[in-house]
Amino acid sequence: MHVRARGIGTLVAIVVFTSAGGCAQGNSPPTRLVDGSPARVPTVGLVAPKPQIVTKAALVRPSRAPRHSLAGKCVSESHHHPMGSAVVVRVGTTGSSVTFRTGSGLALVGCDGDASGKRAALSFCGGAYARLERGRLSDPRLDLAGCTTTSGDTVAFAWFQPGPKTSSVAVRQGHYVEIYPVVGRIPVRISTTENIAAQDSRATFDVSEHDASGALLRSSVLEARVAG
Amino acid sequence: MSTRHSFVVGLAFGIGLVMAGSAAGYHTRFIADNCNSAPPTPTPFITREGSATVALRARYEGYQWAGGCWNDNDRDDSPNDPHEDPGTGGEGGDCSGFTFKVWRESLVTSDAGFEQWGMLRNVHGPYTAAAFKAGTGAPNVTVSKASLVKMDALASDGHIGLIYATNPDGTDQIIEAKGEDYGTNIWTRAYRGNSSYTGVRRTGWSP
Repeated sequence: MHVRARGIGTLVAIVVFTSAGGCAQGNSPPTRLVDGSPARVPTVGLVAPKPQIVTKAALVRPSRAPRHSLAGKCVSESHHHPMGSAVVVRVGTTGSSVTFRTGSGLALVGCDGDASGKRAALSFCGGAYARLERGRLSDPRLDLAGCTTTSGDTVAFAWFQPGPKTSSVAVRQGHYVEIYPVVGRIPVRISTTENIAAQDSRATFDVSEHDASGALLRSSVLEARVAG
Repeated sequence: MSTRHSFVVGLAFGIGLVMAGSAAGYHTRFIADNCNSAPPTPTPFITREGSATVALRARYEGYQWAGGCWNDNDRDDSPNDPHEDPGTGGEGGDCSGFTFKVWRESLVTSDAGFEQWGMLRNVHGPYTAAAFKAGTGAPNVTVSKASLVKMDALASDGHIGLIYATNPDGTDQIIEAKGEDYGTNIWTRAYRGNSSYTGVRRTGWSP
């Protein structure tokens, strides 16, 4: 996994660039998540560019997941992987996902859903599997083959491994920042339609990590390539 | 600081340097010195025998995580790469990159046409093994394992291999980019009998 740390200076530059780009293009952040629910701002504002939209995140017990829910569907489709005690369900602005550790704790399984709320509720457009070494990912398992927005743009998914004190992961999405609460202490499945290089089968994620008060812990660039 | 303490600190520092060097410093110049970014040549058709010939050129070559560039000198030009590191610059495809090139697929997932990629063209393609397993992309479909024939694939969430031949006992000779420690070759495998593997077919073969 290639994660490049960034300095505060770079972060400031991105703030300026993002703000300028947003004004010039007249872009406004999405008002809905991919399941059709309203997009909300975080209750604790992060020290990161604005506007900010928080993804929905929930920890679900597999045995209690309704069969036709995202969690239930992923559990059903991944039945050949012995399951851990909980799955993390996320619904964001560009994609939805379900992530769980296998029962052995040695691997991570993910189901990726795309931009149509109705379609996302019925099936997944992608997925990922990763081995964990000493509890950590060695590769973010980029998935960009099958998921698109309603307008046909490619959606790229990757796992991001947050630090031990990280409460939220913020991902730059062009003219807004998407906030992913850390749930279940497992890598966070993030998604974007920005900075995807289809010709090279790679995507770049601009990420910052924040503590419970919203303070910036670190910034980094996750460079992910399709592999394996 | 005591002599013993100094020794322990020095030993730890030395071990740390060695580990840092082996993990972060490994890089070969295979891709930089040999590979290219030439566009693919569109071709009107693909045959299973022709595809097998393409695959055999990669036999005995290396394995590179996220890679897709190899020569045909029958040896791994960048052996012992660190595992699952896309930045080591080594020779070979990984399992899904190898399949993508052998199946002459397009970078555009909605395009089921045929693209001939040169051996030394460094390209992986958009599909992981999990994506192939799901039949993602216009060229790829899932099929029953009983119906699989030469140059069809067996894919799990973490690996994919191509059927080169089927053995009388029901196992298959699989041509695959197996891993950094093994490179690319043909091995006898029981993927067909493994429930975590699914049958996958590239569409559009000519007889």
